[in-house]
Amino acid sequence: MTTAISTEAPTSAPVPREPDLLYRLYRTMYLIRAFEQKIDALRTSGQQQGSAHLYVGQEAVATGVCARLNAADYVASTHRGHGHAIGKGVDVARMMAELYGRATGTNKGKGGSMHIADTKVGMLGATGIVGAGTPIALGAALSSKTRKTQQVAVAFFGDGAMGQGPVYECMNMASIWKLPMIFVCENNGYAESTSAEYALSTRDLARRAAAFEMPAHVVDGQDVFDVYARAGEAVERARAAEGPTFLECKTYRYYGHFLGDDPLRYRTKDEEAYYRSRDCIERFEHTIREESLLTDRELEAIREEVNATIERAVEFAEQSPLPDVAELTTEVLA
Amino acid sequence: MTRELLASRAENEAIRHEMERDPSIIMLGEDIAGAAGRAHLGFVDAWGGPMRSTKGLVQQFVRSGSSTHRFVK
Repeated sequence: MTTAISTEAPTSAPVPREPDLLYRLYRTMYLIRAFEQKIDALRTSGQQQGSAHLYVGQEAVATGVCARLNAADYVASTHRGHGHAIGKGVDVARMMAELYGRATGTNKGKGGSMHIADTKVGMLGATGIVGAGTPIALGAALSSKTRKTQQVAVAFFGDGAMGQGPVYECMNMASIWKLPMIFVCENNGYAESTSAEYALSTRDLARRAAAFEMPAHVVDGQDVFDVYARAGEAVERARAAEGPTFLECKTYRYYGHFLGDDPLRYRTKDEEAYYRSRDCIERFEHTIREESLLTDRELEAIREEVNATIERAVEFAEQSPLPDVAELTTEVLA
Repeated sequence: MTRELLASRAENEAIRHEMERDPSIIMLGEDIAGAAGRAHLGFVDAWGGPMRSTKGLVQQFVRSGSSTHRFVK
């Protein structure tokens, strides 16, 4: 289900069922989930320290959007950023090492979960500050336009960030300067423990973006095909120098706000069950079976390869050294 | 008299004392109680803020049914 808020392009074109694309979409969604579930296991058992904000449930959004991007394109992420990093092609072994605080990590072990960045693949970084990735993506979009490089910049943010002023400043600037930018609002229904239905004046956040004179769509964020279709239109528009697009992807996080948070203190089991019944990976598998696109055996092979990749990532991280003490004062600003 | 207590607890007590002393004080913030608007589902004060520094204040200072209560979550 897609609802167009703007008057343009009321429905998205169907996604061609090309085997290569199906393989990529499934593998990325499953890789994100397997990575996150491994983090849960490692942190619960104490093998890895600290908390993390898990992306499980929202995989279709990062996957569908990033599948439309090239390596040279940019994404700026959030505190819940592992999915965006994986979608953009950051090596999961280096991500795992970062989460272990090892020297081989994406940020030499000094950033951790909320600062994962890898500019070589256009991942500009996660951030602990709600909405703070958006101005960074705007800057990247402006640089692309100035240098005429055709690169697209995507800002991922959540429903909570729709309460942050800079997000609106960015929407305005992207619109007046026709920047090659995509605003991807992952509305997972909760800003920490506060529900969107209580805290936001409008049910569909895309309505707010439409006021900035850009195409704004409500997208089923638990349907990777819907996300992929809308992201495709947005990328095409950005590359054609026609300006930004806003996609409000309705989704759900299965875990709490952070690992250790019990979401049943603020939401019901029935609600969780409803969203789990619309799980993006299961729905993808269902479609694949219904349309006989890939065999169960092919899907199984993808899952096995991913599971082995995750195991190798853990091994790599655990065998990597801790950062040298001298690293304490390098690449740190204070 | 000095006491040793967690900073979050000290913060909680200081806010409570001031709000008890001065009825014109309101508290305003995002997620300072948690589960805002969900009393009908049985959820009140889910978090007391991510650091629990406002735990319990919502029960003490919200006047139920009022749209202009002193604890604006």
